[in-house]
Amino acid sequence: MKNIIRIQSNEVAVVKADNWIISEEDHDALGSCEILPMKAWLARIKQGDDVNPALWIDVDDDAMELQDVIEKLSFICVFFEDFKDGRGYSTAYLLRKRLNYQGELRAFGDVLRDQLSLMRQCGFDSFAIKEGKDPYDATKGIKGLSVTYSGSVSQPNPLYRRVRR
Amino acid sequence: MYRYDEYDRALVNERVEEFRDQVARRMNGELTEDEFLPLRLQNGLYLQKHAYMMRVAIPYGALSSDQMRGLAVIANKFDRGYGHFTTRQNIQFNWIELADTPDILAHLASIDMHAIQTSGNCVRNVTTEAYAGVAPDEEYDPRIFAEIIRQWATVNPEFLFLPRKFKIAVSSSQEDRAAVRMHDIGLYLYRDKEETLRFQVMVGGGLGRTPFLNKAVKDDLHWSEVLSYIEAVLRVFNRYGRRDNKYKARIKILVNSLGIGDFREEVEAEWRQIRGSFSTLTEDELSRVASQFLSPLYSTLDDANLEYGHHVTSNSEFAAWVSRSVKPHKVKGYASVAISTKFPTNTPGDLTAEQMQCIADLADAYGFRVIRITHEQNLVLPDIPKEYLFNVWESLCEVGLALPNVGLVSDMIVCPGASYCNLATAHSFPVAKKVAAAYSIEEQLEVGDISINLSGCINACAHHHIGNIGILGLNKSGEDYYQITVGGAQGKDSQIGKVIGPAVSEELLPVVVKKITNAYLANRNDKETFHETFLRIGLEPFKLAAYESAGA
Repeated sequence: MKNIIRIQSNEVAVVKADNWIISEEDHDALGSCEILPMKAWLARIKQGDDVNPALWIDVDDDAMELQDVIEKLSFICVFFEDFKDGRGYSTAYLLRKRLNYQGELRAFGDVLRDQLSLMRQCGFDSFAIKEGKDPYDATKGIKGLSVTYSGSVSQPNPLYRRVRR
Repeated sequence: MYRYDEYDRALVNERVEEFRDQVARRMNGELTEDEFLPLRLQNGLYLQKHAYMMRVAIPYGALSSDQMRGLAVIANKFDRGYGHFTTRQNIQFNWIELADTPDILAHLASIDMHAIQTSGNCVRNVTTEAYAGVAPDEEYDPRIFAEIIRQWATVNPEFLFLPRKFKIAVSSSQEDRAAVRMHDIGLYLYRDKEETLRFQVMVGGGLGRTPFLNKAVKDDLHWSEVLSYIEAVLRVFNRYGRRDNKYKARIKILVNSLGIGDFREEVEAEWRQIRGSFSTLTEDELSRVASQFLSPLYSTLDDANLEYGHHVTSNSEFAAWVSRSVKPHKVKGYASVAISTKFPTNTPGDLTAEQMQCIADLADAYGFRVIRITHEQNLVLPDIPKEYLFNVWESLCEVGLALPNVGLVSDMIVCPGASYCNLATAHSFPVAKKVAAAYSIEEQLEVGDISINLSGCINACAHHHIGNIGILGLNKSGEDYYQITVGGAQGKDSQIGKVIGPAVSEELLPVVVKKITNAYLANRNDKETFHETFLRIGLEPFKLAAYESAGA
């Protein structure tokens, strides 16, 4: 994958490319860096195959299907087909809060600078910025507003539990 | 009223600078229009027929006099000297330059206002009734929870790209004056037998192409759990709401396709996972916000004021205005004043900068510096001592705002329509004006209280479905036509109106509306309201009257 921004222990790093490859569908002779779609990955697990600890979630996949196998995963990518489709935010929330997923969580697809802080607050810690956009420029979108009222994945307490107003 | 603290102020100021940068990037081509669109919408900026329009939030319809003056400054400096108050307690400025928008937002921030989430597929301005805090029939001030919900929903990262817009309204009075039943989430706040505050939560209301009243999902939600419950509803909506068709994307469609029982189960299952944790409201937070809505220091006054009584008996014009505009107040010697923005002298919802100034001055002089916006597009001075009502009326006369028509035929609710709006299929203002002009004030008083709502398109910004008489503008081969519904009602007995028959031409519309109100006059028993008569006699007599020799 290309145009990567990763946040690790509050440090932001830009990586031009890493070795991971999104596979549209399952096939024979999978490479060691291929990321299967969630449904295909689940089918492989069911068969007892030894697969990569990585998968990608499509816009209409239900992340809760990963409930029993979440500990087998260390890298999950969530697809944004269109940045105006906000399902991926709830997917990230569920992975982090409901399934307690601790590994890397990456947004890819129509991923743009102006939504990165929202994605970060919902639990994403890595982003494959849309092709053609400058990932260095996109890092400006990570911080977002310094005040947030509601709680979120990154800050579970709402403002009224955080500060004395 | 709610005053910003350092956190509110920091958020709004940072948001202005964020948008300033986004506008600059749009103007230099770094952002495409497609990328910019939801950013500008979530900052209140629409592109209309002739120019950009900015919609500014007036949370739960409450304004200070200073804020009203600030809006007048924006109207003069950045627009053509006026603004339009909407049915969702916002104000719209119609003639805005894109390059000016960051400065407008900065000006708003300086008066503790913003345009955040007044548009876009997110939680919109939380509304309540204009008489909150002063109405005698109120159980608890609904603005307190409206403000708490507003804060929770503002830039809440998970819920900014929902399938469709999302509207929440709160009411806590015997008579629902906030049109709660047509909201995506409607909240009735009440005290149970132990005096504990609880909510009845209703989900899935909305007008537009497929009108629905919302349905009860939970009857006895404890006040401290209102945010987690809304969160559960929104998460279910965000995950399962339709995204393939704009007209089927509102939560009402999800509620009705799942059925209310299954929908409730989904929400409850989600809620069980999150209740009792971080988003449970605390007593501290409730009392902090509540302390911002304390009543002003009312004087001890006599209920009756001699001078006021004298003016009423000696000045028939004043008396006529009083009978329509002066509303009861919970404190002895005080009244609330409704100010009509309607025909014949005004355009529904529109106020000039001069009129805004006048209202701000009146609020300063007599009314604790506060002003409210109603969802009927009128304004309210909520706390006026009766002894000053005459002074208020005289000043309103000077700026053409002393119309004695609140609640009457000519107090129509009207969207801007094809004169401004891209979505509109027909004109609204000029046609509504003709309908209003078909009645003398005596005829209007004879008809009495009635709601007539006219929308210029199916999106129903004027809420035509819940008007006693609803009028919907359509386009038939290049000509404006108007479809009429009868039997709509708002409040606790909300009802969606029924279409009476084929749409009528612009020319015939005033005649047909008058035939409908004549049918009401001919059929009403004693003091029956229009809606009561409709419930008793049904649609047929209105239908017959409307098309009788109308040539329609």
